[in-house]
Amino acid sequence: MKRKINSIDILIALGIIVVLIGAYMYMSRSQVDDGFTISSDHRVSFMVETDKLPLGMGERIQIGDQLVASGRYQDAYVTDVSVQEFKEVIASGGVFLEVVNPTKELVRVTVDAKVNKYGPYRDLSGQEIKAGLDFWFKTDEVVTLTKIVQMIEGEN
Amino acid sequence: MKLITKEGKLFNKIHLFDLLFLMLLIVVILGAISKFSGKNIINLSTNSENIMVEFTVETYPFHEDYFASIKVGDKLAEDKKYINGTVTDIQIIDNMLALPDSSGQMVTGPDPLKKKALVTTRVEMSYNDPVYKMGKEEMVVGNIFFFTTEKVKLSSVIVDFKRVE
Repeated sequence: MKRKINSIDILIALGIIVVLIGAYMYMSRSQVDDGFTISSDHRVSFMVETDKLPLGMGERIQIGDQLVASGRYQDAYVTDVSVQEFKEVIASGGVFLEVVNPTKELVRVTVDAKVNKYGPYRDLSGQEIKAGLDFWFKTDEVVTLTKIVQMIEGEN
Repeated sequence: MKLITKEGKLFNKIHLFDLLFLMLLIVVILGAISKFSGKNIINLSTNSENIMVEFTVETYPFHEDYFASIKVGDKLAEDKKYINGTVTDIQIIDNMLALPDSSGQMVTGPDPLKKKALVTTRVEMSYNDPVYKMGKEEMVVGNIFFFTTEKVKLSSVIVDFKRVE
């Protein structure tokens, strides 16, 4: 039996093709290279620093503090804290001098965290973890914008 | 001649559904080829050739600790993908400052607090005359470039760029 094709059939067929292509592109999007691995059980240790906390607020960060993000505790803990003098450079007598700025302090915090890993990309609750990037550091005591200084070796 | 006959044939040659099926097949085959032939090289352009390039970036000034996470042999990355290139050399250099002192004289010299890094990388990238591209980035001396590996993402400027065999 010969069937007459109408324009609706064509539209449906085109729609199916578009959906199939879209589904293929979506599914192949996150699997571009052979070395791609997805893991949500990857631990890293990284150091962040900030000079944006008001004086004395660095003392609110303690070893063992748990990080908070998206309204819940994360599997991320402070393993080291140091509060240092904040130094600046001035020119005096024809040379550069390092001087201490008494209105600021440099707080450096090391964090051990379970992160999501997608190939070379790692994030902690949506924040990408790489030296040089900004990182919102938040516990139940304090929140501040920091910069990631370095990744500590020995991740697993 | 009718565009579509009563039997549903286009120009009385091929059935419309056969044509759609063939088109779908071609799309799936092309998709599969692009997925499996590219490996981990990001190259979306079609009229381009892959060439080997060595380029050097100069990072913005950072405390020297920021460079501790860069190692020779590190693989370059972009977003959630690796790029077919590795770090071949790292040099920490002075960040030159020029500041006026209290007498109004300009003092120039190395910054005692911050350094810069010169990072050289050998990478395979696409060349579509006259544009070199690595991933989404156009590569040309002077461009601002986010030097990215698995462990770092540092703002930098491309300061040297050359093709190598």
